[in-house]
Amino acid sequence: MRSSQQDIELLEAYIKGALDKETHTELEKRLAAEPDLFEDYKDLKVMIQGIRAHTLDEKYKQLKRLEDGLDNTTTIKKNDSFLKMVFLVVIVIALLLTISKFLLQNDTSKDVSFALNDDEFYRYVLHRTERSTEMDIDTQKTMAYNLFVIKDFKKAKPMLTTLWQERKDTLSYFYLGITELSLGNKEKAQKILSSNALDLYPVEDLLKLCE
Amino acid sequence: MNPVDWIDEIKNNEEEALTSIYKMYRDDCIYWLQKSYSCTRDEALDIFQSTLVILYDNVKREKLTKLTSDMKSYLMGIAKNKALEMIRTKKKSTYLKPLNSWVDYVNEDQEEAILEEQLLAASKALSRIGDPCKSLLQYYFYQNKNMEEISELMGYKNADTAKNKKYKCLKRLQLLYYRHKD
Repeated sequence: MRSSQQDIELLEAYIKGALDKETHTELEKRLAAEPDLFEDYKDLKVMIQGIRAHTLDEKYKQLKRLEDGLDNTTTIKKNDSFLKMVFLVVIVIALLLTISKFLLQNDTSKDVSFALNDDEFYRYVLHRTERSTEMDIDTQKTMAYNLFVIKDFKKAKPMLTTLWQERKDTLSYFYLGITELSLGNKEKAQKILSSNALDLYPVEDLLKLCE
Repeated sequence: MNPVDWIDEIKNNEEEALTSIYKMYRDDCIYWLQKSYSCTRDEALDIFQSTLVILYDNVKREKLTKLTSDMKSYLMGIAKNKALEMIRTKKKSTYLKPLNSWVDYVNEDQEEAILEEQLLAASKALSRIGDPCKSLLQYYFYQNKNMEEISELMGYKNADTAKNKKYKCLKRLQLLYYRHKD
């Protein structure tokens, strides 16, 4: 740049169209007469437009970066949604499993408040449970005992009661005590299990459960 | 609630304004371009981004001082021209010139066309000059900021210091320009 700072400022104003008529005419005369000034004028014009082109290029690249950022956010959002969906599916499966387990438990034990686990319970099954090839003559007793063994206490209860009341079957009475305990009727269970009729039965631990 | 004066926003807070406009109209504009001009998604996105750059340029150069319609219609007007330009270019040649060089666009505006190589050389020279010269020259020659504003923005002592600095930067730019031109 051979022109002075003052001349450059003049050229800038000329390019912007900011000169008054007189200065404008004077400068045009100088541009025609001074090759160095004219050279700087041409360069200045190109450089100003170069600055503009570069600025727009930067702006364009900035928008590309913004788009990349949005893309990443969308991917993260998509991943987020996917994780949320997986989480939801896991929750639903867990819920279904819990419900089905609960239903299954209800179905097998039929009763909710049974206080004995399987090992403890079968300790108190005192009748013979093998299959017999002979005709079973005491069907009522067999049915009551079988219902007790499969822990269908609700159905077993009236049959065991009848067997005790009508036939004074002490084993039925003992089973009835466990049945009441299993159905959550602790008071009734305690009354039955502490009865003299069951002196010979292993009621000690069961009575503790009735407290 | 008053509608946002986007032109004012671009003038005073360009980054935030452009980001907001981008997010607000991007999907609609891309969908419309794909539907109306059978563009691919990438082409539509490119047109939309170029549209925003043109909006920015029009505001900064005070070619656009007031919106006569809403922003969406204005953007679609520019995008439409860009899409038609793309279709014409596609018809002429299988080679699609990338939109990322703004030299052609800037040159179209000139009363006397500048040689493309010269304009490219000047643009490259600015990218090589580095700050603070680059920002100073952009503030003065593109953003039309005066010397007081520039001295404040760049932390110079006063407007005269900024003026001297600008002259030196211009000299350096010219040197770099010559290097790229040759």
